[in-house]
Amino acid sequence: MLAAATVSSSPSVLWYLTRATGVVTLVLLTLAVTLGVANRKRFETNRVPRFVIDTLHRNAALLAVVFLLVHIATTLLDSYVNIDLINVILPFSASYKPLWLGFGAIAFDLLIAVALTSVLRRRLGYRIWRATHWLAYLSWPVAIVHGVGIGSDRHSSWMLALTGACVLIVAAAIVARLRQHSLQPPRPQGSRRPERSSNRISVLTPAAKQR
Amino acid sequence: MKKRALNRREGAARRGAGLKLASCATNLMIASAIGMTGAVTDVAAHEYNAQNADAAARSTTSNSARSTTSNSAQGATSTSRASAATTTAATTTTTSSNLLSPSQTPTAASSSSSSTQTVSGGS
Repeated sequence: MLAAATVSSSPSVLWYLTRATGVVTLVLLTLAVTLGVANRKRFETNRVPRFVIDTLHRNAALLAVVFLLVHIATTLLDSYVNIDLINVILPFSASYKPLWLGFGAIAFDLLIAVALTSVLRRRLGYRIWRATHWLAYLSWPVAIVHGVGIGSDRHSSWMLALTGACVLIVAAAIVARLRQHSLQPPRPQGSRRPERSSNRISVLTPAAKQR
Repeated sequence: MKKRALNRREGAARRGAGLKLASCATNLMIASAIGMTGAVTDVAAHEYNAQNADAAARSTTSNSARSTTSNSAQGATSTSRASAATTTAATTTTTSSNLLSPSQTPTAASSSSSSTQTVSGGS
């Protein structure tokens, strides 16, 4: 309410929205990456089955893409700096801070690639989808670098604290995942790998699992 | 047979609870994201307004200082010369106070500062 009142009376609504959606996208992306990294059988409990974590991971990622699109739209509409649509897609092509904007363009391209391959997952096959999906993890540090380099709030203490918290959370998730991987008992000699069909089941959507 | 039916029912209940949990968490996530957008927008707007007010205050102060100077400076040459003399005297005072030996009393320093006042007043 207060925000709406303040925004309506000031001239730079688009600029404020660019900043705000950038921050929220970073938080949502961190949440999606953390849930993706931590989503292993070990973290499954009776109350929180694995498909719940899967659903949250997917929804967080989709919401991050929505906020990212708003972030880009407000940046393009804001006339303070001259940024074209091509600069959003093609990295390092902008005239305004090309390096830092380029990192943002890379993160956007990676996220779009992940979103498209997720939509077309059944047609592409598991391997291609999984290989592309790993790129999503790369888009997170690239987005962090973009925010640290060009963000209007990068010098403010709350933004520094938020960025630090995001890095710590993802680092903790990676450590937990690696620890879990190292604690797994080695597969006994001569045992066969699980069948292809069981692998495929593990990546199906929750709706498909319920069938 | 009965056991299998019971298991199936239990599984369905768990799935239903899980779906409800996921739905609640997603709604919470959306609400938090929108709330956070509003909060950051608010912070940005407040910062912008504060900066504007600060800039306006600064320009007002400098304008009033400029007008005071122009009003008092009738005979700009003599004024500037006087201020130059004051500056020179102040520099001398500083130098001499820097060169004070530990044995010298603070009275000497205060007298030197009073000489500065005399110079500036005289001009």
